[in-house]
Amino acid sequence: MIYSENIFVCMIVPVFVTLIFVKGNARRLELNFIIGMTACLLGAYISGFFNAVTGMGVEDTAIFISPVVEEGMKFLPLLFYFHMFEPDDDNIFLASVGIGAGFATYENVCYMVSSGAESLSYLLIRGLAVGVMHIVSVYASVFGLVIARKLKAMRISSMIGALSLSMLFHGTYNLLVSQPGITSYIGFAVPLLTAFAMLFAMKSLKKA
Amino acid sequence: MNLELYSSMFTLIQTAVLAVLLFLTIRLLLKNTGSLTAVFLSFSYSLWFLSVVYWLVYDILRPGIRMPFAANEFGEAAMLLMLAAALNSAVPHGSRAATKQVIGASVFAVFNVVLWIAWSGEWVQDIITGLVILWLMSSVACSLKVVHALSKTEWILLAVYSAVLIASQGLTFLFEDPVKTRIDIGCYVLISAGILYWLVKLFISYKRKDPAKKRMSLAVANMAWITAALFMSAGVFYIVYFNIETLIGVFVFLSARSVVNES
Repeated sequence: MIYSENIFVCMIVPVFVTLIFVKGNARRLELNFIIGMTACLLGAYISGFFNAVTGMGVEDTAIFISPVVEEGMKFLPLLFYFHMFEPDDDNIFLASVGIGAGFATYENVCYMVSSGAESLSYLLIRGLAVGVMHIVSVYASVFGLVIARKLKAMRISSMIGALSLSMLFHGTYNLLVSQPGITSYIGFAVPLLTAFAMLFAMKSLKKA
Repeated sequence: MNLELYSSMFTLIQTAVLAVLLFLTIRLLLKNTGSLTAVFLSFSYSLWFLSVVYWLVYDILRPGIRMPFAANEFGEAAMLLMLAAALNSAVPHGSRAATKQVIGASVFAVFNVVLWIAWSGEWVQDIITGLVILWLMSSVACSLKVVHALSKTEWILLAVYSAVLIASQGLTFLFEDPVKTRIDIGCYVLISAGILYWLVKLFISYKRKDPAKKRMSLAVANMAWITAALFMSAGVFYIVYFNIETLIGVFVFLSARSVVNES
């Protein structure tokens, strides 16, 4: 057992304090970083609840249920921001990156506390895989929202489509890395490859 | 080769086909950045592709174990929702474009959900997917009516056929073997006849060079029907229908591309 709430408080306090000293995009990014960490903590509670209710077991819950819960938790604050404040594209992308990074950072810290931090190479792979995965998945869902808004197709179906895409991406990653061997290597590589593919797609869209 | 190996092999084929279709859909989107249909189609094929990849990975890592409730359930449902959205954007219609047909499609979808729950006992998944199927079938009914894809006699025959199919499926719960097996075979004959009917309609539409919107409506009708058929089948029939689904996926793309290029 780890004291995740204590870790959470310890991590957000310095970030919270710096909010006073920074302004503009830096403040926005930090605030979203905190929201991302909060979403991670709340997501863990909800996944724990599903584990208790369904009796699936910790491992199966982490593989099958957590992607749905975690992506939902990351998506909700963004959806709120998107609809209530009607931010421009750059700001919503900034918010998504902040939330993704905060989520991944807090999850990685909790992982290190519970599983140890002896192997730098493994942690580096995990950092690159999980870190990028959380950012890519939330970025992809926001990308969907932005495209839908540009085409005046901001309907429930667009939102569900964007969210489901990130859930599936996350779910596939979790499934791939759930067992050691070749599938886990593929899983670790998927987020980075997707990040490059998304960069390419965005450049192409901007040109078009 | 056993059935599971065949199943995995055909899943692999579908994954490859979907990878190509996804690439083509994204290319279509990049060429037509203002097209709503292209956006929803890209969403739909992305979700479909990822769902099939998920299945494939699951089959490799946990062969023979029934998949619990997972992220791909949402993905599959969302894929159908996006397909309905693509169809609705390609063939716009009013909310009362086809009231009778929508009611019929909704009743058929609701009975399907009841039967799925009775078979599998998976309430949450079946209700989520059922709601989406209901929306898809209603959208299909509206678009088929708007593009005049079916005659009045065909609509009536379709309603009678659907009622007979649901009743036959329901009877399988009332009887024990060997009667149950006979009814089951009868149901498969009915489902297969339905698939054949929709495929023939689609091929005729292509041969006649009907408008792209009509072809797309028929292609998505095929997709809705094959999805319902997949939910109602198992074993060899499931594998056969699965391959037909791959073929229909190609036709949905081709017809949607025509709609996007013409608009």
